[in-house]
Amino acid sequence: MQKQRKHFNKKALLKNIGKDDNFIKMLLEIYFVSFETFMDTNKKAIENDDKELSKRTIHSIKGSSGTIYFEIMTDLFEELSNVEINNKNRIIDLIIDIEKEYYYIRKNIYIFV
Amino acid sequence: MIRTLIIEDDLIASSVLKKMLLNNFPDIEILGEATNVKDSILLIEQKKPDLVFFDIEVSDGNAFNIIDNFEKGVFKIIFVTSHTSGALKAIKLSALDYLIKPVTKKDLVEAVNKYRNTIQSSEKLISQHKVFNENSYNEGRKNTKVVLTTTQEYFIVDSNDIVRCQSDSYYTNFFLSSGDKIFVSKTMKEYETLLADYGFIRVHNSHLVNINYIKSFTRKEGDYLIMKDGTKVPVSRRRKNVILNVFFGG
Repeated sequence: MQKQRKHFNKKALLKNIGKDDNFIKMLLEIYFVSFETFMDTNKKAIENDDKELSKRTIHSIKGSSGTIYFEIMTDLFEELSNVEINNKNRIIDLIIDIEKEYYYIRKNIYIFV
Repeated sequence: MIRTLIIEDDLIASSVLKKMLLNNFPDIEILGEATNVKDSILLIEQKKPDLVFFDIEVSDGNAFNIIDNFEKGVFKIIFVTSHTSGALKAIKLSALDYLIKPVTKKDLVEAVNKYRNTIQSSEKLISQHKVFNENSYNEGRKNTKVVLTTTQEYFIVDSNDIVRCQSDSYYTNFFLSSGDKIFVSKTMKEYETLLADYGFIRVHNSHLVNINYIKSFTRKEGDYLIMKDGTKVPVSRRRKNVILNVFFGG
């Protein structure tokens, strides 16, 4: 049976980096700052049909999400990276889901750390 | 210490990798990090690392734009990537190992151990060389025994019998005066060091020649050496002066 994917799999992250809350806090700060920049860039890339920039941006934020073990977010970006750029409706739906997930993580981050 | 660099444009990924390396490998020394092609090339030139962790995509290009500036085997490469399909073939061909993001501690330990095993195997090669090294002189020429390791056999060959070596990615072809060819599962770089005192010079990224077997140097249609066995070996622009110095005093 496939394991249920988590908003934040802290256990998996700790297994890699050891227990260091300050380090996790630093990672989260970097993530939140870069996330909003990446999303703005990606939206513009999609509007301008700039496939290359969009692909690069998604790839980058997907990597960051994966490294921190934001698993649901990583899956959403994975799906977004596989959608054709002209399938605007699906892209919009996914971006809405990504933003919801982002606000969920931000809102609940005090529980995580 | 294993002199290590991290080439990664994602700050989160590089921070986590650095922490994992420092937490788990006391023999790894992280000399620096870079995020783009230009800085990475400079950093590698300055620090001369043993091992480099590369993200495939960097901010202004890709890892191959960096790697192509250096001779194969000068440092070992471990790729760290989110790619899971197409790029893997290219990655497998050019790296010691690759890690899929998110990197787990288990995978990282395996990759670093693979590096250690490779280095131990190189050291074994040098020690084998010492064992068989008779340092004899043959017809006035300095000679040594060289152990050539293929996937199935070990050959002991006189350096005087080697006409030339040609690099083939992480392997090396040895062409002997008898006409035999031995395909060795080591990089040419490793043999270049061993043979440097025995009349061998690197004339091209992929070619090492025994100067005793050079018949002529031709400049028709590019720079080439014609070897006594009739083969034609290209001389790179960078190495041409070395050849001219050796044979013609500049």
